[in-house]
Amino acid sequence: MSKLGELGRAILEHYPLGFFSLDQAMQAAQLPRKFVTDALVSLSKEGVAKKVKKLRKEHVPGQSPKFALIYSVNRKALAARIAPKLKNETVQDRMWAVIRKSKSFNLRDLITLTGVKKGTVRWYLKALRGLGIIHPSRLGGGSGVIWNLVNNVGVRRPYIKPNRKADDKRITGKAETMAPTTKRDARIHFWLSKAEVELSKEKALKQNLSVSAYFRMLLHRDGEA
Amino acid sequence: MKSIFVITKNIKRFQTAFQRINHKSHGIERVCLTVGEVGLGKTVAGLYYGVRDGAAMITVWPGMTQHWLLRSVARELGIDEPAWRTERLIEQIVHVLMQDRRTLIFDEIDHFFRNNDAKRVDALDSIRKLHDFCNIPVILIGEERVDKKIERVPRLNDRIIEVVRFERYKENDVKDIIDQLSDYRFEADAIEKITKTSDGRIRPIMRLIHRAENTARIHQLKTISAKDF
Repeated sequence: MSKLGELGRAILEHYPLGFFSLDQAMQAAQLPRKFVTDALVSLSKEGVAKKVKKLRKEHVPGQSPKFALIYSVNRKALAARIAPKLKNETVQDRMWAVIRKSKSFNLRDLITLTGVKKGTVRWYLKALRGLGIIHPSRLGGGSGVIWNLVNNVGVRRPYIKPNRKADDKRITGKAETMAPTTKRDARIHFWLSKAEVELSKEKALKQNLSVSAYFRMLLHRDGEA
Repeated sequence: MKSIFVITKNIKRFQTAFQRINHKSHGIERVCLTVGEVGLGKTVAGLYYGVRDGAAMITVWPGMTQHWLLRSVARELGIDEPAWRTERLIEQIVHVLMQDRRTLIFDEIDHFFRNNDAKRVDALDSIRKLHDFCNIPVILIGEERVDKKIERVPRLNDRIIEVVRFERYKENDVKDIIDQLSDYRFEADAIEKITKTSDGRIRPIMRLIHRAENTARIHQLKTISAKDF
């Protein structure tokens, strides 16, 4: 994952209310201050993050002035920004469109309607099955298996991460979701991350605080730092 | 049997109509109506060419209202949160279609003509409005006689420039299909039997070819005649 992705993920995981300081972001992502500053500036230009407060820290003689920067972030926009980019109009798009429309299909239908090679179709079915999106009519494989769409995640095809093995250089088609694909998943992710934060060391800091109280606490803490 | 999409005479007509409505002239209508009996491959043809063209395909449900239809269109166009107000919903759809011009395919539109309901005619009129506003190609797929029923919506009927009629397959069409699909040689009586038994519909034709090939594989035949399956 890119550094920006690491930073975004750290912010989403650690700050469910969307408010954080520069120091907190550095600490959460374990990245240098220079990079975090640049990333937050570029996110601000894109309209994903917004600088809400800039306070001067206590001046240390002989050093350049330091500031406590407080940011607010649009969590939804940030999640979309760091989500993997998918190419458009690929064979996967074609296969996904046919699967969504057919609901119930077999390997042969998919090959016929998409014009994709058998091996690619089999890899795709295996990957979708791994994600729990389709389910076979019977176990054990062989010919005549009917696949049913059990979890329709929408128009955009689900992200499948290719797993390249270094030793035999073959794509094994291990499926993995990088970002929540449905609204329900996103909500579950959000509450899970919130629960984790509440159980973490910063429990005392974040428990049952309103946005304004949380904001005041951040300002106070960064002022002390 | 080969895993290929068979190009039949109906499919050729559909493909030609599909190309014709995707013209570049501004101000000329782009609505195509596809009619035919059940089981002749209209939906599959729509899906096959729609997938290649990146079209949005919407299946009409019985009792579908204008708002329901517009929400389905919005979802197919990838709008994550379709608005509840119809006015805002139309704005969202128009915004997406203006940016990325896509063909809209509406399957089973004969559901709009059940019970002579005026609300359903509204839904058809909104399809026509989307076509006019965004200049997008629209394909309507329905069963037999839907071309007569659509005359109840004169504004939409005026904009139909192509009518593709899916017909039952005759003996020479069945021969064409077998030539494309099968590696075995079929005798004339076998082709006649398939035509008669299937009643000229594509699904039974495929089923019979499959059955005949299975028999040929088991008995190690090179040519298949009527008595073999």
